[in-house]
Amino acid sequence: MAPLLQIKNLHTSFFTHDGEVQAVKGVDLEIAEGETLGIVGESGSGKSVTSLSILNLLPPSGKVVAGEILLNGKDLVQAGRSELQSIRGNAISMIFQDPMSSLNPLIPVGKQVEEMIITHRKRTRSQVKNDVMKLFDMVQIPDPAGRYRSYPHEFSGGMRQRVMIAIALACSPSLLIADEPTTALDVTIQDQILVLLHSLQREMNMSILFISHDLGVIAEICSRVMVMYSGMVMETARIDDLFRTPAHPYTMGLLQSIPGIMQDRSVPLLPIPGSPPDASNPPQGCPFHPRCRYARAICAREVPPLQQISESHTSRCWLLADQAPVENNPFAPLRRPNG
Amino acid sequence: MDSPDKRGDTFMLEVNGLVKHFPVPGKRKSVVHAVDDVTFAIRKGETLGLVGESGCGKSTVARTVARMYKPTAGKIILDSHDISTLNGRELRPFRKKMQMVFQDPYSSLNPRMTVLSLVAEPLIAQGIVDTARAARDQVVQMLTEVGLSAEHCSRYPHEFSGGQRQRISLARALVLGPELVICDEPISALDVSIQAQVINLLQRFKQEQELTYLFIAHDLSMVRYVSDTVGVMYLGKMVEICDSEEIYRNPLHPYTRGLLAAIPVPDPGAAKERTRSVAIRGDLPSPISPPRGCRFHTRCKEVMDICRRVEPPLQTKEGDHKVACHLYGSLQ
Repeated sequence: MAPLLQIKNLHTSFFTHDGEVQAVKGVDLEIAEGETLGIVGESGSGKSVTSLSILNLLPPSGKVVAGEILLNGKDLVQAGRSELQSIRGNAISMIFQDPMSSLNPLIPVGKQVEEMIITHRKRTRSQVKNDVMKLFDMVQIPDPAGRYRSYPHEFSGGMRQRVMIAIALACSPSLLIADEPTTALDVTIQDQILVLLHSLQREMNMSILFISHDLGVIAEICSRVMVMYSGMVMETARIDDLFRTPAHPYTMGLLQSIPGIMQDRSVPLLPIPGSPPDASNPPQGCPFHPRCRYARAICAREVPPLQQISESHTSRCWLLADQAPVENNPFAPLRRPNG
Repeated sequence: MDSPDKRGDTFMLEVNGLVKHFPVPGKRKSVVHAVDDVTFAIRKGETLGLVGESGCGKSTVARTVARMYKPTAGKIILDSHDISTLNGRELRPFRKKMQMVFQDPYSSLNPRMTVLSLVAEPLIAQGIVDTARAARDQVVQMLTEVGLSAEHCSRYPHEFSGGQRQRISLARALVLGPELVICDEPISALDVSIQAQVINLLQRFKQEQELTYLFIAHDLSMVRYVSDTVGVMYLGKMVEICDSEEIYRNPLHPYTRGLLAAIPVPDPGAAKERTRSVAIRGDLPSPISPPRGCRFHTRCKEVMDICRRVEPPLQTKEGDHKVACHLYGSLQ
């Protein structure tokens, strides 16, 4: 079956007065119908820019410079303004980290949900109101009729995010892009929102592109995950494979640097040394090599290609190449004979 | 497990019945019950972690202990000296003993000061040196200890990454050789790959200089990892406090259990086994008019009739383990 969304060789850059800053450098991804794909990465890894590129919501200085974004086979990069407008909030919608700045503080929340339905659907006034009540009920906002006229400031952070989800799901999108939707929330509220997204997804059979810096959150909700670093995809795997057999030193580093709830307190954490690279001046070769404990000469010269480990598992690391040594190589057992 | 009297050490910090209320602008009779009757103590060289959702009062505890706020009631005893009612000038000698590291390394460092003057500022304020230049050797030594170097002295905060800025904040806090360091969410603003660097640095200082920490964070896994004792706060109250191993092995309060269940586990196997039901329902009630009885009863899965009427006191269950919950009856 053809994937719902397919991104091929996406390059997105920002044009600043200091020149071009490449934020996304050749990202490929596919999302099947009903699937949840996670993108994990630190600030500056290009995960949000990738998601903003899909609906062309980039700031004026940003531009998709190459690549294709195919929704059911149709290229969104080539789509015109009005065409994109009819897709936004309809076939693809988005929720963001901060629900307060995404909602208009001067308009009652019910009206803000209505706006989405009126834009994309032909419905009568009373039908629209009815739809909004149903949506509020679906996202478990208590007392939908009473809350209809409330303003965003009268809601808690968790309830505001529920309003955002109601707006996003108003036209039953086939893809929901969720960019760090729980980062600003407390763990107990995060847990409520994740449970809600999970059940809504099953009910509506929609696909989700879930962006987060938190591997724990990704493990809770995604079936497949893509690890990004410095604008590149470093590893893509099914969620179990990523945690059981990570095939990139960066992924390994991320997993080792967070303490589990059972972690032995006398064992020091194993941090990744250094800091993430400066996007306007990225290192030559593999962007992770200055922080990598396995780096060799070739890593500083050339960007490693994505290596296939299994049908669903790829990683961008020279340690997986045929010529790589076997000693001090945690990935030697993962290499496929004859490439 | 050692009982408190067996360890027999002296306390670095004792907080007894701490209360901090804030006035509500425009409403003369109502107050925000930020911290209500909180009691704990930290032994020298140990770490106490405080966890809870935003609005639970953990940062207010930190700031009141540091005497950035004046407590409404209660006692703060720092190394056997009562500092709860001292004024600005009287507090100054105690500032040497007690320093603070803040969450946001962007807003907590003055952008117009060089690293040298930032780290030398506490020394000048305490009258140890007269100028930043005179403190240079001391500053350089401190910078080296936090993983920076002499060449960073003349740079400004904007030239550093978040992780490096937090190292500067740490150098600033430690340059006076304090005994108690209060860390208010010191790693929350940092990237995942940087958090472990800062935690390891804090742990190293704890061992080398026998520092005592009051560590505030919302991340229960991280708090358990760094702390000897963990206190769980809810809406201004301490609801459970015990040894950090106990907190996940034998959590007693329904709120603690809910918090533990809500943490996303970076292990897909565990995540799938978990029943997909909500760990704690509802939102935090308003701290201006907290619920009667147990403050958690509006969200508690095991709520009983008594919980709505009577506030449960924090009582000792066994050893060092204290809990405020009617499920355990009257423990005395």
